[in-house]
Amino acid sequence: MRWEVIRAGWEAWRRYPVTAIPFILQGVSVIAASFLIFLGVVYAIIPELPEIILSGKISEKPEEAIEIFARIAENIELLSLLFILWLLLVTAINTLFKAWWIKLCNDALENVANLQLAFQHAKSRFLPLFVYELIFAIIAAVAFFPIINLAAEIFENLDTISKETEMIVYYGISFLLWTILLAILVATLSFLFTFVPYAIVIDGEKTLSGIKKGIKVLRRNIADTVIMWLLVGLAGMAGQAPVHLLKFLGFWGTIIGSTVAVIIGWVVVMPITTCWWVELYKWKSKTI
Amino acid sequence: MRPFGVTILAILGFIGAIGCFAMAGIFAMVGQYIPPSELGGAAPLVSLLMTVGSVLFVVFGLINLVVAYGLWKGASWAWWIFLILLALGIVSSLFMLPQGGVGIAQGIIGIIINGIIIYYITRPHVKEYFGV
Repeated sequence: MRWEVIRAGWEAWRRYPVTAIPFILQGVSVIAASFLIFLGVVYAIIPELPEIILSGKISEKPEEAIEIFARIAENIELLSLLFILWLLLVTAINTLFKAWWIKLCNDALENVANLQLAFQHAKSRFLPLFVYELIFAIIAAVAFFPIINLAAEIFENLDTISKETEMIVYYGISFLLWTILLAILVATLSFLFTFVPYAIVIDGEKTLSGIKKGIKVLRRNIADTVIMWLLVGLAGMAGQAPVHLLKFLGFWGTIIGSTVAVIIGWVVVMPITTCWWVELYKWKSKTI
Repeated sequence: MRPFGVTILAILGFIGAIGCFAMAGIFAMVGQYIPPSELGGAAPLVSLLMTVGSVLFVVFGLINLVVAYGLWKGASWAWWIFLILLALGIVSSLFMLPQGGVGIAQGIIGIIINGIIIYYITRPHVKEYFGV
């Protein structure tokens, strides 16, 4: 049956390469939204940054860098607000596109994929999925606060810290530990809520019933879910091949390799793996 | 009846798990026995690295143990996890090739070993044992 899931996903993508469209649009939208907010931050706090980076002066005058960091620390409230705005915006974009690609992959597996119809369905599932994504983002963001707090502390005491090796080591370790803990938390949540978006979009569940159903499906199929996560990891790793293969060409090789890897991710890896998840969910949810 | 090669792979898995737990113990002990005064400012960093290393070895040991047990019992999930881990091994070996020098040798050895094991576990009699 696992072979059938893999084959079904592969064939659905081959029949309907159009399943890649929501992934491409989501990637471009998130990059554009993030870039706009970043530009806003630069314009409001450090308008001279583009000139400094382009001229390469930053490496010549470290005191200027320290002054910029101090200015960032002074505007930490504004940055926190913008971070929340960015989080909400990206969550909303992700929600809409996620609902779209789940429905589209589901339709592709049933041989009836249509971009417009899938988008109509995605809009109708936006709210319950957005509430779920928000819950997920808030839990992750709460775990992110100690890191922000630590970064603020570093910025505030930058003069003292930069002069003492022990302080640099101490803050470095704290930063590393919190980042590891955050990564573990996000990985655990992602595993626990693996099937929730599929329950909400495919079965039309509300947020809480979707969470319950998603966890129920997971609890009865832990081995298959672990296998699928590993398989998705393998596909993701294989999609990163251009980065490693072109790295030896130097800086531009890395840039070209990364760009190719991102495009492969959007066009090939993500649509196929989503079809796998949808097929696995449909197969497993029948048993509960 | 369990194929002989699968028995060997499962035993190697159990040995690997024991090795990982031993390494976890060594990391934990080294972290305990080095006096912080000898490490100066780097003491917290060394302590952290030893702790993280120890935890990682415990995790790898547990993964080895679970997969080896599954292989021994002929569980289909163990066959899948083992196959994917071997494929991950091949992909990461491929990534070593462009590094040159020792990376090429390591990469080629990794590809050959993982490739042979993948070839073996996908033979019909082995797949039949696992029911895949």
